[in-house]
Amino acid sequence: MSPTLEQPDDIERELARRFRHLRREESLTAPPCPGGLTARRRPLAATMGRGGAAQLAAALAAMIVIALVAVPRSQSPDELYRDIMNTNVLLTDSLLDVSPATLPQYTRAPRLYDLHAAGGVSH
Amino acid sequence: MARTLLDDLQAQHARNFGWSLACCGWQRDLAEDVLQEAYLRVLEERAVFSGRSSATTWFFAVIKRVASETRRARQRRAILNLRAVRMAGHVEDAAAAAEGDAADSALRDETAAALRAALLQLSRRQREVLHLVFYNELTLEEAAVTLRISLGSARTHYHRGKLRLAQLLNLERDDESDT
Repeated sequence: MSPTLEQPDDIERELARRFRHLRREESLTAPPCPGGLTARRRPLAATMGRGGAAQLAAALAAMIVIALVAVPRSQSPDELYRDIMNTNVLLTDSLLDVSPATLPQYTRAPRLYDLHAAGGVSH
Repeated sequence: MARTLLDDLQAQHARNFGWSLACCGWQRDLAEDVLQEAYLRVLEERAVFSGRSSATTWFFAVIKRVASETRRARQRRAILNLRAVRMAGHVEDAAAAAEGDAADSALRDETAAALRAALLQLSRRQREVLHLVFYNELTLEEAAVTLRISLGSARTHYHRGKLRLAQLLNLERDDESDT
């Protein structure tokens, strides 16, 4: 009984009886509850068991590794210069591998000058 | 979405339907559409339960709002349809069809039918308050929250509606006739 009807009069008692009857009759003809309610989405707390927690931990670890690798570290100018020079070391022999089309002057033999004619060194 | 809310709505499905029927003047097809739309609004989170009232009063208010919107939309369509029918000169056919629909939804149970017929003669507010109190067993405070009216107003509608309903159902008592 509703708290409104804690001390019902005769009319209220009779009305309550008739409404109960109406409710019973209508509940018999009520359509089925829509499937959307029964196939509801599960809340996050219910779906996340031990497997969910492990997945979350793995994802966090991956994010930390990515952050450590991807984030650039600051360098002093001296360190930066040394790094650049070391990565651009070019051995003399490697010049022979350079294509003539790229650097034609590197593939020509150097010119030989006549040192005697020039009044230079005598043997 | 909280699991308990959906469980509550599912558990009181029959009462939800009963309230939807009352809000739709016991037009079954309309009541089914209204209830379906109300569920949809909850599932799609277009209607969000804030927890300020009980889940029941909140969802009843959702049903009532959907019913009002649906009724207004159907009235607009009905006016347009009526104009079209008049233009086609088939007013008699439409009246016959409406009569047929009413016959189809004829009530098998006489007691329930009498109560429904009497309720339909009350004002909408009286009908809603009485339905919430007697059918859904809400308190007057909860009925007021559901209908978004003051408690005093709900109390007035309750007493006037109760006496009018008793009169229509031949339940009236002499000592209450002057209140």
